[in-house]
Amino acid sequence: MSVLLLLASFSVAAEREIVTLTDPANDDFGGGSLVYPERLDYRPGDLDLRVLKISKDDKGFWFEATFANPVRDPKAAKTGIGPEPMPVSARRGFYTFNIDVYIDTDRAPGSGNSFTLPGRKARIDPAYAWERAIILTPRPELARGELFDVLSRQFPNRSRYEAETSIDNSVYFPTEVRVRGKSVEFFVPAAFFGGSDGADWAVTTLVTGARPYSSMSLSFLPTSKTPLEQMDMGAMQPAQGRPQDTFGFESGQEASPIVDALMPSVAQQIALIGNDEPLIGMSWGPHAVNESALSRRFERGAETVRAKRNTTPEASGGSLFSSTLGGLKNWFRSDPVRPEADASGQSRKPVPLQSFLDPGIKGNAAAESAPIGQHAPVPERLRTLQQLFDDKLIDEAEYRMHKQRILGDL
Amino acid sequence: MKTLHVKPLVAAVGLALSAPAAMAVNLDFSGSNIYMKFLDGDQKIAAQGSGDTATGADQGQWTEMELRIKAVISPKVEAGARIQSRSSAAYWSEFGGFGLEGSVDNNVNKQIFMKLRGAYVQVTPGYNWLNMARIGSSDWGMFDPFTVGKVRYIDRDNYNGLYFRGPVAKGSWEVARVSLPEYLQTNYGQGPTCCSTDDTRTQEATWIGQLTMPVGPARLAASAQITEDHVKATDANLFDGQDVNTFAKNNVYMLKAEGNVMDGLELKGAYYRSEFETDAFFDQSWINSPKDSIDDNAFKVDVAWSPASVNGLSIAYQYFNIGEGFYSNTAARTESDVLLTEGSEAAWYGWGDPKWNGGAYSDYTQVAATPKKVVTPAYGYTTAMGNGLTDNDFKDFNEAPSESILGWKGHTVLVNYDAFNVPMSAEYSRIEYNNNWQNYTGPLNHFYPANQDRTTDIFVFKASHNFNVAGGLDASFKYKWVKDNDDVSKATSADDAESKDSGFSFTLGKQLHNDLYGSVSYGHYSRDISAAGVDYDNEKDIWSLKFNYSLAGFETGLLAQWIDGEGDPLRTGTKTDIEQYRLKATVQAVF
Repeated sequence: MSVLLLLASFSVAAEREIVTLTDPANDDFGGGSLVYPERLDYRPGDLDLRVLKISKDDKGFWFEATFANPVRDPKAAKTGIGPEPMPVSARRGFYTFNIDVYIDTDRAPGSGNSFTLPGRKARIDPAYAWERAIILTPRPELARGELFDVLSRQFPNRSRYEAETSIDNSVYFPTEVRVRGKSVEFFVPAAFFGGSDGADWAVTTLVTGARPYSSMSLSFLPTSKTPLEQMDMGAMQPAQGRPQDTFGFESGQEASPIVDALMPSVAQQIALIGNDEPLIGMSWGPHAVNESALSRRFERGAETVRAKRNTTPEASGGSLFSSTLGGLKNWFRSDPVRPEADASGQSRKPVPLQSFLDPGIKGNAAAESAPIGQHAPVPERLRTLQQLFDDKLIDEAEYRMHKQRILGDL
Repeated sequence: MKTLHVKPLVAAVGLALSAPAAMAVNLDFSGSNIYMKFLDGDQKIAAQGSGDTATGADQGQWTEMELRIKAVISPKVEAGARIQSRSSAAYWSEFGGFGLEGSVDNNVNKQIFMKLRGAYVQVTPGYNWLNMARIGSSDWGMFDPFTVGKVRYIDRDNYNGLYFRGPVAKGSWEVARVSLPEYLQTNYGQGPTCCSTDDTRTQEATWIGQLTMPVGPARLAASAQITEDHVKATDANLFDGQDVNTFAKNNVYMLKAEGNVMDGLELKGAYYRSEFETDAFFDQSWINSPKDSIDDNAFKVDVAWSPASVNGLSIAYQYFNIGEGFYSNTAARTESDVLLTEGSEAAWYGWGDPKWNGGAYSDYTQVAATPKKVVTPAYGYTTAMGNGLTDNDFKDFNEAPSESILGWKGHTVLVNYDAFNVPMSAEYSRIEYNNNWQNYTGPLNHFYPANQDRTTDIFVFKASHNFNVAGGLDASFKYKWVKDNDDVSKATSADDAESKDSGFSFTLGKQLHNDLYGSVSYGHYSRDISAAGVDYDNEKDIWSLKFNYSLAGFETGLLAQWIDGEGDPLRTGTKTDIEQYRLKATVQAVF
């Protein structure tokens, strides 16, 4: 019997490709200001995601991410804690990055989560709200354990079992990983997706730098941050300047830890990550959205603004481009996911995972949540939305949809 | 004409009022940690100074504490420091040299001093010609390991210097001045003659400039470095300053290019040239640099091909030719791997020294630093003498040993193929040597033997698979075969030598618990030596048990090995039992 099991584990079911998504080259700078750590094993291109391919066999789904540069081998690397070699702690063949894949499996409006896991400091557009998240990290068992430890500190009155069940239903940390050249493949069992066959999904994919050691995320100085807010879950957090042990940024504004995101255009990535706007993913199947066309609006928006700047005197206090971006920022302002009313007008019960991880939920974050970004008043947002429509940066359907959303905040 | 006089007090007040308000400083202690180590073994060797296998210890318990401080003083200024206690010899049992703090015999390692390992100030001014200036300590990992290499663990942050970096066109420029520790200076900072003093040793430095630039689909990099060693000259008139003479100079140049030739095909090339010039001649066998002037080259060509038509297949080929006289005093001494090949069989590292009966647990890495001369047969085939810069000091048996690749030339083919969910790789390397010569008496005779006619063939096969049984089992297999043939002197066949290493290992690993991973390995290794017409056969089995337990911010690891075999490590003609038990456990708490 054991021999049969062994043979069965060698058998290869035919893999069927579901989708191949491509990302522009040389956009591994987050929102535009991120620079690589000052060390030889982190070089531009290392975290430049180029392709995400999703395939399926009868056991589950294979995700294959391809970067610009070959994946760094942990063989000669050190953790930096004592003389211990990296392979002890990075036994899956990679150590420099994390990949988050947030999957909208039902493509139903108003369904799913808009937050990302701790340390990513981003939100996802409600149109791409996810039901399942795949978190590829060099130390998946440790990442999962760290998450539960922090939740137990954040919610001391809730049981670990409750947290485990909620998170394990929605978040998967792959342990079956293969590294080949520039690609890393990771496997997710079909059972995790509850029967969904992948034909009608949307994915929002992020790449962050991976911290080489596990730390307790303690602060020597008093902090108002909650344990969840302090937690980076293995993602390098950028620091001002050009540090050696993490990503850096030189602009005045704090940079997002996201190094690259799977999007059709660089302009879209800069606009959304750089301005702390909800991220837009990529979709396929019957409910596919033409993200390429949407992305061209970001490029067009930049061109339109540049043209206007050439003919119109700049307003004092900032360029038209920056004020338009500021308007876009307000337009995509991060809102806590609120329970939508169903057909009977009754509110649905909140998704349990949100109650643990969504920083917009009371008790999950400190009083001033969303460390990046500001909340503009509703009238200002409506004026900005009108400006965008007048400038033909959005069409009438988008104008109506977003106006309804903004008015919903009243 | 009225002359304005600003009274000094008023001026001072005005300056004080116009000074910027004090900025809030962000302090970051990330990465600060406590590191503990426990060694156990059946050699029963007490720690001498540093507690590690290479220094001779297989017993004891140590603690190190490291405090990392980073202060972001302003958006453009950052300062940092690292304070660390050195791992003392058997601290837990010797209490830090209790009662003997003033004794030289109980050296600083036993007295658990907290040492300022490094401090720096980093400025990112945002000028369009300068991205960053770093003044102070660094691990110098920004350059190619053939030129200025990353500093080894034991000295990390100890090297200080100046580092500047800025943009140029689409690329970047870097300039650095690395203050040289004495052991990297020619003749260890003693000047041109042995065992004297040289006041200029406190001001010797390596200067390096590097340019990186994307050119179309390719990426180019070039660097030039110069090290000049000075000594005070005879100077009759000190009123115009002290004259100095340059008695040694080491220049190193690098040119690299890499890029995608087409989809699935990558090409890389690297060329290095070193020039060592001296007007002195160092006739000591223990110096770390060539004894006389010598120039040489090194180059590598890499081709990596992943044919789209064959899923899961990738082929890498490397040609390398490293001159035996290539010399950079600041090349990476360890913790870097400059060639594609796995190199020698690590299970036979240190063979002939009883504390290394089991060899090294991790594979060799190849470095471009000068070699420590290998002599036979007093301690066996691999005992080193001399002070080449390749560094295997302060290492435990679980760490990767380094071997110098100076003088190597040859080819490596590495094929990776993934079939039936079994990733496999196969390597073949053929190595010949630029120092295959006879009756050599030149300036490198303290690095290489006088007679050598050597070739090495290496074959490695690896496979791994994750079995979906028993909750998931990680399995891996490795077979390695190394044949080293050296006819030594061509004048006689009496000194011909051949060594054949062959061995395989199986490893099974499992996530035993959410926080605990364990693995067990079995390896069988044989080394058959034929030297001067006499055969010496050695064989050993190595069982390894490994655990890794991790919680947030806390990790502990354990590696235990049992070695059992028989052989003739000292080539006495009589086989002897070879047995060893050794263990290393570590604890890390990072906060």
